[in-house]
Amino acid sequence: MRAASDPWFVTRKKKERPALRLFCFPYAGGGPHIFSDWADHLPDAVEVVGVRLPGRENRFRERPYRTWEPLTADLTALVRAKADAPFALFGHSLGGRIAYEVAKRLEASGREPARQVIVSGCRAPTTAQRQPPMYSMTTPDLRRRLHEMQGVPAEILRNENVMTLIEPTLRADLELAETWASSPEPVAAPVAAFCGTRDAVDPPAAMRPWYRATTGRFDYAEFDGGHFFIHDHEAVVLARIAGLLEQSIAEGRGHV
Amino acid sequence: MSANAATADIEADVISMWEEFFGKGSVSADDDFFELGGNSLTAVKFLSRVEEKYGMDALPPETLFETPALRDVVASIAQNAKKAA
Repeated sequence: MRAASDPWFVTRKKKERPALRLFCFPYAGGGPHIFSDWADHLPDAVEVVGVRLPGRENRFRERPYRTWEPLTADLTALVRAKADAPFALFGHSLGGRIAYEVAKRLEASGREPARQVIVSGCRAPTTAQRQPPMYSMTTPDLRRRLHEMQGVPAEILRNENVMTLIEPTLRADLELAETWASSPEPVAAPVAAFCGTRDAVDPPAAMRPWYRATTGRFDYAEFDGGHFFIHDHEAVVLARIAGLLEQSIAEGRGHV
Repeated sequence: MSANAATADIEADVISMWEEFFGKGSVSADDDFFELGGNSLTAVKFLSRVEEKYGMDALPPETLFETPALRDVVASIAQNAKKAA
């Protein structure tokens, strides 16, 4: 048998001594494959690590998290254990909420703040959930909504058997995203918020208040598109991330 | 054709499909669909290729999700294709 890979962290291009390690958290139902070629488009000094939560891909048989406390506690410990390089966090939608909670908990535990936190397609902690919750919808309603949101490829939606298999994890992820309630204290890490101009799930008005979530530098960028603008305009999004990370790396050098 | 020969043919076939899906040249029986980079979308694509070639129930989706090693996938196809024949 081949050596089992790390169940949590998928690193397509391992770096010897990365100047920065970017942990990437996917949206509900997603896995680290979303980020599989990001390393090709980000600075060479950055190691890209996609996070794989239980309940999907080769962790399909594991029970997904449905509540925040154990999820944040476990992820914080795992990120903390990879302490050999400065780190940054990126997350989209559910992943943005996770990135922010992990950043907050790491700071509370006394670790040096993240060099950069990027929250994408994700309402600000002070903004209420806007849409009716999906996690508790009936199966037909949930599928109709997924179809409207265009986040699940039509090929998967059409496959009844596969949908039945992935639905429990999708619901658990949605429950996390839709029941998220963050504590009001800001983080010290710089925060950048990325928003889709036509995103009906987490629209610009729900994302602008992210500036209140940090005592550090705040950046805000809008991208043409709906909730999944990171796929529609991946090159533009990656260029923006690259810029932020280059700045973090340069600032980090200044501190040494 | 003997059962073993059929299984070997199925294995060679699945190996070539996975090599194509994942752009890799050295897939073996020990490899795991999701470790290679599979996700729900590649799973749906692979399942429909298997269905086209080996029939409707040759590989139940839960078999691929729950036992994603190539050897187990091949065993399922060989077993179910035999039942159908």
